[in-house]
Order: sequence, then C-alpha cells, then structure tokens
Amino acid sequence: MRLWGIAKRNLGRNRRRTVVTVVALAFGMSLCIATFGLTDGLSAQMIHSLTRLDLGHVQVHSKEFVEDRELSAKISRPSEIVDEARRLPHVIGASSRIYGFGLLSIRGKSAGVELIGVRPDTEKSVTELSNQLRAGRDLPKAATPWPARRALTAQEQALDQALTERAVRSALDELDELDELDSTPEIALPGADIPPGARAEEEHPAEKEPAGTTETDLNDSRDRSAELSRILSPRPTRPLPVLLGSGLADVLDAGVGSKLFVSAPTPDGFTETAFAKVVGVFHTGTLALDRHRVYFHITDLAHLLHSEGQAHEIALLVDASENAPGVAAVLASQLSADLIVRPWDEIRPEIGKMIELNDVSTTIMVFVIFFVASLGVVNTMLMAVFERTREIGVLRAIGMSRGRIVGMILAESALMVALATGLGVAGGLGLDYLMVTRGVDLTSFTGGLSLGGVGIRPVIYGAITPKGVLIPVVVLATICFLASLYPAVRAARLEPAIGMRET
Amino acid sequence: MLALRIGWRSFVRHRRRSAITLSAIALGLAMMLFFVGMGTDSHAKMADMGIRLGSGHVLVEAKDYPSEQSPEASFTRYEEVVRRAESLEEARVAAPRLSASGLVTAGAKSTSVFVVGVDPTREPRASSIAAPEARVAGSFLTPSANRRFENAPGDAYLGNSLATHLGVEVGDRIVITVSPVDADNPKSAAFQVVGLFETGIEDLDRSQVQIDLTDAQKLLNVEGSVTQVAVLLGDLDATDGVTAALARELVSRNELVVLPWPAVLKELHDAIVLDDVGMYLMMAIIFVIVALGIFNTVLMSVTERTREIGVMMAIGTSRWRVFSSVLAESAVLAIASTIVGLALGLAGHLAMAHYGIDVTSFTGGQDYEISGVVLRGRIYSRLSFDVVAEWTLVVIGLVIASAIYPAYRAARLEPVEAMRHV
Repeated sequence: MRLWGIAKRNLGRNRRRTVVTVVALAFGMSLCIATFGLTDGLSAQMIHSLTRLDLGHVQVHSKEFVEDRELSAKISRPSEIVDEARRLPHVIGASSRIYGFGLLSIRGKSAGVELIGVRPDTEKSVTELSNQLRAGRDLPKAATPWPARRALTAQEQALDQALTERAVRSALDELDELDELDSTPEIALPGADIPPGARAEEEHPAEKEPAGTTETDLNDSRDRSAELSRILSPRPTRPLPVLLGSGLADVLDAGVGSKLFVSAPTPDGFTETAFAKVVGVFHTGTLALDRHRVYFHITDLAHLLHSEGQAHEIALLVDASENAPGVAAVLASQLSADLIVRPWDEIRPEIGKMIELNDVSTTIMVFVIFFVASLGVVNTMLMAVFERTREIGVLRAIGMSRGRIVGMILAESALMVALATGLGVAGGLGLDYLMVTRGVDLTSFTGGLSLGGVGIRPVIYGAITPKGVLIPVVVLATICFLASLYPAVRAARLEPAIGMRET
Repeated sequence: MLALRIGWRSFVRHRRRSAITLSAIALGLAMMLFFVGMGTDSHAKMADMGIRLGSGHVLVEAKDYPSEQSPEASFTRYEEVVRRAESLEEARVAAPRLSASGLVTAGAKSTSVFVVGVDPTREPRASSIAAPEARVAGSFLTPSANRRFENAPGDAYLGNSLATHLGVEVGDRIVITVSPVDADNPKSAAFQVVGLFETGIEDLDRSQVQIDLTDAQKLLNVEGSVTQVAVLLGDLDATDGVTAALARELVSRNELVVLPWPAVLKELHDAIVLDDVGMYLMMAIIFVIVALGIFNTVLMSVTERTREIGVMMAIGTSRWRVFSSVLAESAVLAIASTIVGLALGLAGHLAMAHYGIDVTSFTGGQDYEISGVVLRGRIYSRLSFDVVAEWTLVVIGLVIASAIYPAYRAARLEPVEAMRHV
C-alpha cells in the first residue's frame, strides 16, 4: 500500500519531532500498563488474603447461622457434605469448621476472642494458615484425648439432688435478705468465679453455699459438686493446643508455650473453661484474624462447646476464584434447602465492589493521561500538515482524492501510535515483570494497610493480565485516531490552487 | 524587554499550535488543583472520622499502654490530665476512658467485645459513637452517680449489630465478663441496655460496648484509673502544637506518653500518605507528557525560525539574547497557560467547594472501608492560597525548563549556516 510508504517517509522527515511525540506516548503507555499491573496485583492480593487465609472460595452454612450467627445453628453430618463437595469438579479441598466466642486470660491480661476449630489435615487443602506461622508449628493432627462423659449412677443422682436442693434453699434465703435491703444484687454470671479447671456450679448454677454454713461443710459440698460435674463433663487430659494471631499474642504478651485460660459460653447455655497451650503464632496482616482469633483442633473445640461431631461452616477451595460461583451453584443443588452455599464474593460483596472500583479509577486515569498525550499528537500532526501545505496542494492538483489525503494523514498518525504502542507495551511489561518478581516494597512507608478489612502486605506484587495491557492500547489508539481526524480533515479541505501558492 | 517582545511574537505567530500546547498545560494545572482540592477534603474527612471513632486528635496514655493494650497499663490522677488538656485554647474536650476486652452474654448468646468505660458528660462531645447522630435507639449513658440504687445494674450503650446479634433491645439486660486487673478469675456484672449506636463501621458496631467509667473501674478493679485521655481539638492542624504543649505540661509525669493521631491511627495515616503518593505519581506522568509536548512545540518553533535567527545573529544579536528570546517565548506560554489553567481550576474548585461530589455514587451506595474508616457523604474541594501559588510556580518552572534545550540549540546556531537554511 503506497499510503503507508508515504506516511513512513513523512514521519522520517522530521525525526526529532516524531521521536519526542512517540516517546511521550510510549512513556504514558508504559506507566499506564504498570499502574494496571499494580492495581491488578493489589486486587489479586486482596482476593488471595480473603480466600486463602480465611474464607476459602465457597462456604456452606446453615440458614440461621448466616442470618444471625446463631451458634446453635449447626450443620449436621458435616463429613458427608465435605466428601460430597470433594467429588465435584474444580474443587481442590474442603474442610469443616466450628465457631465459638471466649475470653482468654493469662497472668491478669485478657482478651475477648473468636474461637475457631479446624481440622488441621483438611484445612491445609483450603487455607494457607500453616504457611503464615511466625513462630512455633501447626496444630497437631490428632485431637487432645478427652475422657468420655457418662451418666450418673442412682447414688450419684441422689447426691446431686440433695446438693441442688440445699443450694436452692440457700439462694432463696439470700434473696429474702436482699428484699429487706430493697436493692438488686449484682448478677453474677454462672461459673464466673470458679477456679480454673473446676466446673462445679455450671451444671447447677444455684449451688452456692450461704454464708452461714461452716467452712468444712462448704468445702465438702463444693468438692462433691466438682466431682459430679467432672463425671458429666470430663476435663481434657492436657492443655488444648491452639494457634494465636500475632496481634493477640502481643496483647496477651503470650508466645509459643504460653498456657492460657479459656472461658467460653456454650450454645446450650453453660460456661466452659479449659487450659490451652500456644503451639504457634501466625501473622496474616488482617486485623480481624491476627487480633481476634484463636485456632483449635475442631474436635477439641467441639468438645469444649458440647457440639461433638458438628460444624458451623464448610469451606471449599476451588482451582480458580472465577469458578467459585459455578461450584457453589452445583453444590447448592445437591444439598438440602436449609443450607446456604455462597461463593466468596457473595460473602464479602464489598471486596468485589472495591476491586471493581479500583479498576474503574485506573481506567479513568488512563483516559486522562492519554487525553493529555493526544494533544501532543494533534500538535505534531497539525505541524506536519502545515509544513506540507504546498505538497498537499500539489498532490490534490495531480488528482489525489480528499479521501486518500485523509487516509495519508491518518496512516501517519497510526504509524506513530503503533510505534509508541510497541515501545510502551514493551516498557510496561518490563515494569510489570519487575513488579511481579521483586514487588513494590512499601515497608519504608507503612507496616501494612487494610482495605475493606482485608490486610494488605507492605510488599505489593504486580500481576500481568490481558485487560491491563488491552485497555491502555485500545484507549490510546482510539483517542489518537480521534485526535488526528482534525488535522487530516484540514489537510483534505485545502484547495489545490491555494495550497500550491503557499511557501 | 526585546526578548519578551520577540517571545510574544513567535507565540502568536502560530496561534493554533500555541493554543493546543497552552490547553495541555492549562488542563494539567486545573487537574492538579482539582485533585489536590478534593484530596485535601477527603483526607481531612478520613482523618476526622478516625479521630472521632476513638483516638481523638491527641491521646494521653500510660507509657506501656501502646504495647500492652490492657487495663494493666492504666494511670491514676487522670482528672489532672483532663483539666490541663481542657485548659488549652485549641482543645474542645478531653475524654477519659478505660478500655478492656471482654465477653458479653445475653441469654444463650454471647460474643467477644471491647468494653469502654467513658465519662457520660464528656464522651458525646469527644466521639461520634456517643454523639446523638449515631444513636439509633434509646439514650446515652447516665452517670452512675445519678443511679437510684447503688447496686442497680449499670447502663450499657452498644452497637446496633451487636444488639441484633445478641438479640437484645433497649431495656434488656446483658452480662459483661472481663478479666479484672490483679485477679486470676473472670468477673461478671449485669448491665442494662439503654441505647444503641450505628457508625457504619461494622467492626465497631459489632464489638463495642460503652459503660460508665465508674462502673468499668469497679468491674476491672482499677478504681480511679483510666487507660487513656482522648483530647479533641477544634482544628486538625493544631494537632502537633497541642501534642507538644501537653507533653510539656505533663513532663513531670513521666509514666505518661502524649501521642498525636497519626501515631495512633498508623494504618489510616499510611493510607492517606499512600493515596497522596498515588495522586502525585499520576500528575507526574501527566506533567512529563505535557513537558515533552512543550519541548516539541518550542523546538519546532526554533527550527522554523532557523533562518530568522541566523539573520538576527548576523546583524549582531548576542547568543545570550537569542537564548533568552526563546525562553521568553516559553515564559509567555507559561504565563498564558497558567492564567487559563488557574481560571479553569479555580472555577472547578468553586463549583466543587459549593456542590461537592457524593462519594458513595462511585461505590454504588456501598461503604468503602479504608484502614478502619468509611468515606461517606459529600466531598467538597478545599484549597489554600499557598497550595495554589505553589502549583502555579511549579507549572511555570516546568514550562520554562522544557524550553531550555531548544533555547540552547537556537543560541548555538552558526549565523552563516542558519541563514542558508530553508
């Protein structure tokens, strides 16, 4: 095509001008591609932190648990659902979890926390928590030995009856006294002042001795109550192994090997207590996990919360985050209707929204940058047209159509843009490559940020996506095409006679 | 003067070309003013929200509280701190607080919470949690001194999501369990829900319970102590001044530290700085592209006038004069374009300062959490004279700097060769 040949020659005619214009466009292109690389990297990191450290890609819950986080709303037969989920295509792993709340204390320091019980062997196939350990090691695969409960014998039941009656009596006496005083007593939580390890009064909240009983009598009935309650709810043989978040470890001033006292209300209305031993400390960068969570073996926590064999949540990992909605839909169709199956972006819609918003603002930035850059293209092309007024006049005089003149000018700008795109994409991918391999280190700026409650590491790694390259390329081509229309039309409008007269 | 006249003449010689270059520069300046104006307000709003959600502008804490974060690290004689802080001219209110984490139970439901003991008379002026705007039901705490019975349950003010989660409403009872200082066993007490708040920050709405300071002190066994005194100021910019002044006043109490909000809300401060860095980076990209455009235009204009410059030099114009006449051309361009840019930018600023932009329109009504705060409502442009002057000078400098190389090339021309140029 002769047009391209002419265009090429014309560009070469004023090499410095062409080079400067191309450099400006290529510079803009490289940085736009790099910005996309960084934004996409940030989005990928957010999705990764969210799905691989906490949620998984798809979760199954009972309806009541989703609606008001009702801890008694458990999934029955979770292991069957886990097996079923594992058989689905795209699913890499599935693991069940159980939740609770509790108060941790150690040497006078305490913290209210979320307790989560996981199966260490299958949890590994869903989340990477075991890779985030800062100290210590993962939870042991086996649950802590826990003696089985047994029912009370007739003799023990009679003793229980007697103790309860005495306690009720003394409680009533106490109430009478209070009525005389005309004031309401401070209500004590059942079991709140029980020494650690013992769990006497929980089963029998009223079993407190009145002040009038003698010291030995009181001790005796306390011991007996404790004995009875250990039959009904035995203690584990050793402290329960737990993982703590780094923030929580700092607050409690605890580390690997620390022995914690856990007190947790159970869904059936009691308060359970136990000792726990920290086996590992993890750091994810997400405050909600690092500061407020304690990981148990699922069997240990289920024992503690009187919920053996049950689970609140089943988390699935699929091969790619895009496949999550499909897997969720298939699984939902196989399970009973009172279970809710949701992909990660439905569980945390604000994160998906935020990622979308980041994309939109980067695209706007690309438009703004290229709009400014296109003004340079208009200028260069206009100059090129005016310099050649005479030449264009001659071309028109010897019969070149207006359309071909427009084509010639557009070809010139297209060639320039193509050159800039080539250089810009190469430069942009080079920057992307650096960001993918080395990351952008913001540690001098910040120790970590959070966006939408998801922790962002201070080292951000870029990501190369087709979209991150295509958007800048298409936007630049479109804007520059529109920008060169004006010079092209002006050139085509020249009257041959007037054009030739120009010097 | 001659240089300027020549500069002006070459500027108007190619009206269209000059106009396009001018509009690129003007657009750059106008955008800069727009982004700085909107950024200033959104950052101030973010900081303000963080400050009002807890930290205050300046925080006085026991030296080991920042690392311990527990009521163990509390301090006594806080009334003195409050008095001194409130006597400062810039301070609006100083609110003493005692915080601890704990467990709240209502019926069979319970959850972990952050219990904050506050002064019922001061807190509503110090935090947006306690302010009437955040209240969705009931009332705020009544001071425990006004209670009819000494042993009656204390008032509790909780987040709306927490209440929903526990299934309680105003008037219901809850039990708060904490680990008191210097005690091995948890301690519980009953409270009555008197009011509910909603800040939009799920983390707070779900986990914060405010009770009367005296009740909290009793519950935690630290009578007469607090973990912090938060000082609210009338002006964000007074933070550093007040921090220094308070540190001087409290120098005798070396068990205390005085912290400005950026030290307390580190993540938020980092996010603001990072946002600024991103904006400046984008503007830097734009200005580099603009500078390359100016470079191109001025270089063209010099190349076109090669012959003219040759003649000027042949009749005795010095190289310095040629150099300055090209710079003068760019100076004319710089001044003309900053005038247009300022007009454009300030018009945009005035419009934005008046109407503002609703941030939630970008997020489709969703709240966008950034390091613990949510940007909400309208953002209005805010610019100070200094900022405008600074950026105008930067742009003028940039335009003139882009012309240095073309001017140098013009000045190096050899008259004889230049005159032969077509």
